[in-house]
Amino acid sequence: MNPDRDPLANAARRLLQDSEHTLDALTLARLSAARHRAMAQAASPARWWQRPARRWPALAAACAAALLVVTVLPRAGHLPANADALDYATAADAAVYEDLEFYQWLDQVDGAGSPRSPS
Amino acid sequence: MNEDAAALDAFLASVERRALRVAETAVGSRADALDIVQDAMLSLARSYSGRDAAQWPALFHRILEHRIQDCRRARKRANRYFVELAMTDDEAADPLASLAPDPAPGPDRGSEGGQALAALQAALRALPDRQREAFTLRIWQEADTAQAARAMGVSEGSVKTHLFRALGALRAALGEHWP
Repeated sequence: MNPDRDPLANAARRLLQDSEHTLDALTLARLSAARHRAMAQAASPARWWQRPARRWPALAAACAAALLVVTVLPRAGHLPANADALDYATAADAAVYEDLEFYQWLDQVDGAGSPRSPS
Repeated sequence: MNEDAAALDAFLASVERRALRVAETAVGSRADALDIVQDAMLSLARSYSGRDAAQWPALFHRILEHRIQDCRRARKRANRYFVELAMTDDEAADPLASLAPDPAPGPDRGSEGGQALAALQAALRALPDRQREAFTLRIWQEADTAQAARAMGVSEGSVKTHLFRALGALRAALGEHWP
């Protein structure tokens, strides 16, 4: 079926196209006013929420970066919660190593039963 | 007004009446149709005024059709809600009553041609979106199949199928009063 030769299609086309020319004056005035509003708003600078969507990813990336700086980076400068214990353990181990020679002498003295000063 | 703005204003002035009738036919309310057309004009002017003027008709059609479909979906949701409310109250509800033409009087109502137009608009309004869109583009706006396919974002075969079904549905709805 060719719609261009369909009687119903042709009758509907005529009726609908004719209807475009039978709008009342008030409706035409409203249409004209709507067009002028659209042109005026388009000419005015867009507010930030009306700006093109292509700018939103950049804004989101900036927000994510700011969030990262605020939440993650300050923690990176701090030691873990058990940092004090680690410090204590490390310092104690160093003291043991420093006095290792003394403890070896003490052990020998206990074993031999006669005191000798360490060399 | 610069040259580009004047060209856009002239384009919008050339399509505004048809756009209003297309929207009014689709949503059944002149007030809603005016809102839809203004919104579509604003979107085109704000987002696409820098495009090649040859693209404006297709862009405007897409924007207008999106607004129309948004409005129709909102209507359906509202109708479903009110029908459910009415059913819970055990009242007889006619879901098609909300699809009745805008009762506001106009110069095209009352006459024989006005009645034929109202019947045609009601039948078009009852079509699924794609069928109504295919009919609007191919029959009302006299676009060829390729242009309609580009505007709808579908294949030419799909346009032919939607149009065939639309004409069948209109013929069934309008009955013997139409050729």
